[in-house]
Amino acid sequence: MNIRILLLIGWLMAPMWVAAQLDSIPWTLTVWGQQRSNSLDRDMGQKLFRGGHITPEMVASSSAAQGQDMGALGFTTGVDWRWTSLKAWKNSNARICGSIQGKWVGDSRWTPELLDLVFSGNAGHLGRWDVLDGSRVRTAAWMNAAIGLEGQNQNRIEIGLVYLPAYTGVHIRNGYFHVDEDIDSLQAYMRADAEVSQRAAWGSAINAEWHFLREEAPFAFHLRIQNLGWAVVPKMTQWKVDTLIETTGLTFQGPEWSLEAVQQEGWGAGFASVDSNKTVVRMLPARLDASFEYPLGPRSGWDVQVQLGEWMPLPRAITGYRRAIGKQWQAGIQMIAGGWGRLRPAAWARWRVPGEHAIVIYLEDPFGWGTHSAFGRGITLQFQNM
Amino acid sequence: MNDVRPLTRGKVLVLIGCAIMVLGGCNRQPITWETNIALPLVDQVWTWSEVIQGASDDSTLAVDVGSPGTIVFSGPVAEWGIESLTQLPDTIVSQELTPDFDGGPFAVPPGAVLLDTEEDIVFQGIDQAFTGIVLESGRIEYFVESSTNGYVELFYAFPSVTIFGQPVELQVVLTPSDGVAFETREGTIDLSGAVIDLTGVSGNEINRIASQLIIGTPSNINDTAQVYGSDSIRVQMHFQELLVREVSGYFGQETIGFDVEQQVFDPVDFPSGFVEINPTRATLQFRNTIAADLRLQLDAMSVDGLQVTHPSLGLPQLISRAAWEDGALEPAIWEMDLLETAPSIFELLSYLPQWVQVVGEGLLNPLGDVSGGHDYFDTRVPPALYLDLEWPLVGTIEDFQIARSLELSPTDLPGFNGDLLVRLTNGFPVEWTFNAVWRFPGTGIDPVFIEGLVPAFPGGEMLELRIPVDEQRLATAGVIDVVASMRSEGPVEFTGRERMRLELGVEGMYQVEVP
Repeated sequence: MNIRILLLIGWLMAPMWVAAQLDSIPWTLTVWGQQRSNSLDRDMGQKLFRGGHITPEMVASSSAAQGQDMGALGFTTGVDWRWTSLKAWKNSNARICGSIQGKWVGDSRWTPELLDLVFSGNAGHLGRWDVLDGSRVRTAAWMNAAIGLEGQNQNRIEIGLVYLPAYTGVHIRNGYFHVDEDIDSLQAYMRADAEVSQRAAWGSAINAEWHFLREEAPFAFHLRIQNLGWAVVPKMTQWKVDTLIETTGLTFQGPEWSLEAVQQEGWGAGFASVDSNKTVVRMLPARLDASFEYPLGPRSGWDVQVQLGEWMPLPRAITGYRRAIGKQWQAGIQMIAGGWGRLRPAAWARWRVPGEHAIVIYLEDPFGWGTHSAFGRGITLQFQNM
Repeated sequence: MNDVRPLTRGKVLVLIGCAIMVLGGCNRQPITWETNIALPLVDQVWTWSEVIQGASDDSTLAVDVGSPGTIVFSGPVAEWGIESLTQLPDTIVSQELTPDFDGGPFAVPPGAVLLDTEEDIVFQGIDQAFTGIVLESGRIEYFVESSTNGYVELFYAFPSVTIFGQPVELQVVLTPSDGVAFETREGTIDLSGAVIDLTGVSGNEINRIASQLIIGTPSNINDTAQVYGSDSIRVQMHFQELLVREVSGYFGQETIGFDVEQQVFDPVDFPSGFVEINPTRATLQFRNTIAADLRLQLDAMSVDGLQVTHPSLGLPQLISRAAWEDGALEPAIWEMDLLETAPSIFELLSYLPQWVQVVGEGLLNPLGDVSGGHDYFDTRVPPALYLDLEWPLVGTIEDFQIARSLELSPTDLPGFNGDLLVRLTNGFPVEWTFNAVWRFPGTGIDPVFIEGLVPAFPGGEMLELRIPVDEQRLATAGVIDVVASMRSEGPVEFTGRERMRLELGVEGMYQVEVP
C-alpha cells in the first residue's frame, strides 16, 4: 500500500485515538471532495486531471457549454477534524476547542478563445483576435492546526498554525493572439506571471463561527469564516513576461528575430524575467459561509446559504428543503448556483443515534454520478461524535 | 469524567474509505489532444543590397533609387599589414648578483643595499629606430631566485613604461633559502595599453627601455642575512608577445611586398550567371595612413587569373606621408581609374568572378629619414585600397543565380501532418526561377523539392506553393538549399526599389502531449 495512504490513515487515526483515550469529547470529522466546471464535463475534466486523450468532440462540447462566458474549473478536497472540550475554561462559560484541517484547492479560468486556441488550434479561426485576459491557474495545499474557545450557542474562534507545502499560480493579466487569414502576419501579446513555491511556507489563520440561535426567534442564522490568514513563502520562483510580438515571419539570418537566432541557446531570455529566490506573503483562500434556516413546520425547514471566497469565481448560493424522517433520519434536497459551475441539484441525508453519534452524507449533483456529461461532482462525509 | 469509548469497527472503516477516496486519482497519464495550427514562419525580403551581398562584407554599399537606380560602393577592399611595425621581438633580460668574496658567512643587517643599478634594456632584432610605442597587448614574465640564507628584497622599476600613467614596478621579497634549494618567485605583468618610451636612461637612445634594479635586505624584517661567497641572486625578465597599437621613430627603408587577393563573388552564394556591369565611375585608391613617405608600385592586376593592364601598372608612385595632428588623420591618397583597364575589368566582373588580385610592393622612406625620426603609425588605421564605384542598374541579366543555405534544427511536433506554405512575391521587372531542396543529410528521408517560376513585375508576380510536411521531417535536422535565378529579355532598367519577398508558413495538425 502506498506509504502516503498509510501515513494519512495514521494521521487520521491518531487524534481519534487520543480523543477516545483521554476524554469522550464531542468531535466532528469531515472528509470531502468536489470538482466543478461551467464548461468542462466530467469526461473532459477527468482527462485533464488524470490524463488521456481529449477528442475534438469533447472540445466542441466544452466550447458549446462555455459559450461566451469565462470558463472555470475548480476543485476542493480535504479533511477537517473539529473538537470541543467538555470542561469549562477558567470557571467561565467558554470551553477549549480546536481543529485540524488539511485542504487542497485549485482554481482555473479561461476565455473562450483560449480554450479554442489551446485545444483546437488557430487554423480554424484565422483573422480572429483571441483575447486571453484574465486566464489563470492556481493551486494551494495546506494544513491548519488551530485552537480556540467556544462560547454560548457554539460560537467559537480559533487561531491556527498553517503549514503550506505547495503553492502554484499562472496568471495571464493581458494577452491576445492573432494570425491573419493569409497566414502572413502574427500579432501576439502577453503580460503574465507565474510562481511556484520552492520551499514550504508557514503562516497563521483564524477560523470563527457565530450562530444566531434564539428560542424566541423562528429562524437561525450562522456565519462561519475559515482560513482567514496568510503564509510566508520563503523561497518562491517567479516568472514575469511582458512581450509584444508582431511579425510577418522571421528572416533567415540576423541577430535577434531570425530563424538562425531563435534556434540558438539562450534566445528569449530577454523577454522574461525570473526571480528564483523571493520571499513573498500569500493570503490563504479563505471562505465565508452565511446560512439562514427557517422552519416550515415541526419537522421541515427551508435553508439558504451563501459561500464566498476560496478562489471561487462567483459566490456559491444554495437553497434547499429539509425534513426529518422518523427519529433517526433527516434528509434534504438543494439547488446550487455559482461557484465554479452552473445550476445543479444536491441531496443529503443524516442518520444519528441520539446521544452517541451521527453520520451525514452529502452529494452534489447526484444525477451526475455515473454519467460522463455532468459538469462535476462532489461528496461530503461527516461523522459527528456527540 | 465521561467513560472512554473505543472506536467502533464501523467508524474505522468509514475513515479508511474516506482516505482512499481522497487520495484516489493520483495515478496520472499524459494528456494528449490534436490541434490545428497556422503560423507564419519566415518573411525574407531581398533588396539589391542583399542580392549582391557577398561582393563586400563592408556596409559601404548603398542603392540610390532613381531611373535608373544606382549602386554606390565606397569603402576599403583590402588592407596592408606591415608586420615589422606591429610586432616587437621577444626579449629576455637577466641579472645575477654574486658576492666578490670566498667563504663566509658574512652577516648583512636589515635595510642593507647590495645592488643599485640603472641601465637600459635593449630590444634586439629591430631594424627600425623606435622612440616610443603604445602596446595593444603583451606581458613581462619574471623569475627571481636566491640561495641566500636570509630575506632578500628586490625592486625592479621601469620608469619609462607606464600603464594609465603609473610606472611599471616589480617588488619581491624572497624568504631565506634552506641552503639546498633556491628560493624562487615568478609571475606575470600585463602590459596591455602600456605606453613605452624607448629612448633609454639618457633620453637620446632608440629601442631601449630605462630600468632601475635595487637588491638588498628588507628593512621592515628584523633578520640578519648570512651571506656566503657561493651565494647568488638571479633576476630574469622576459618581454613576450608585444603587439603594437601605435609606434613612432624612424621606420627605416623597408621594402614590403603587396599581394592583395580579394574575394568578389563567392561561388557558394553566386554559383553562375551574367550581370552586365557598366559603371560610370570606378576609382581604386591607395590611402597612405603612415606618417612616412612611401613609394608604391603596383605590378599586376588580375581577375580570376586573367591579367588586365592599366597605364599606372609597373610605374613607381611616390606617395607622401600622412598628416597626423592631434590624433586626426589626413591620409595621402593615390588613385587609379579602373575604367582605363584593358580588357575592361567590369566586363570580367560581369561574369561573377571569385577573385581580384593586385600585386606590387612598397618602399618606406624612399628618401631616407626626412622627418628626423618622426615617423608615426597607428596600427588601427592601416594603409588600404579603397574602391569608389558608381554603377547604374541598366543592363542584361542572364541566369544570375543567388544561392543560400539554411540549417534547420529538429522540431518535435508529434503527429504533425500538414503543409509548408511558400509564397514568393517578385518586385523585379525580370522573371525569377525558384528552386529549393529541403534535404536531410545522413538519413534515409527523401528530400523535398520545391520549384516554381515567378513572373516579372508588374503582372502576376506572386507564386504560392504548398509542400506536404510530416512529423518525421520536422523531427530531423535538415538543410534548405535555395537557388533563385534572374533572367531578362535584353537590357532592363532597374529603379533600385526592386524587392523579392519569400514568405514561409505552416498549416497543419499535430498532437500535443502534456506529461
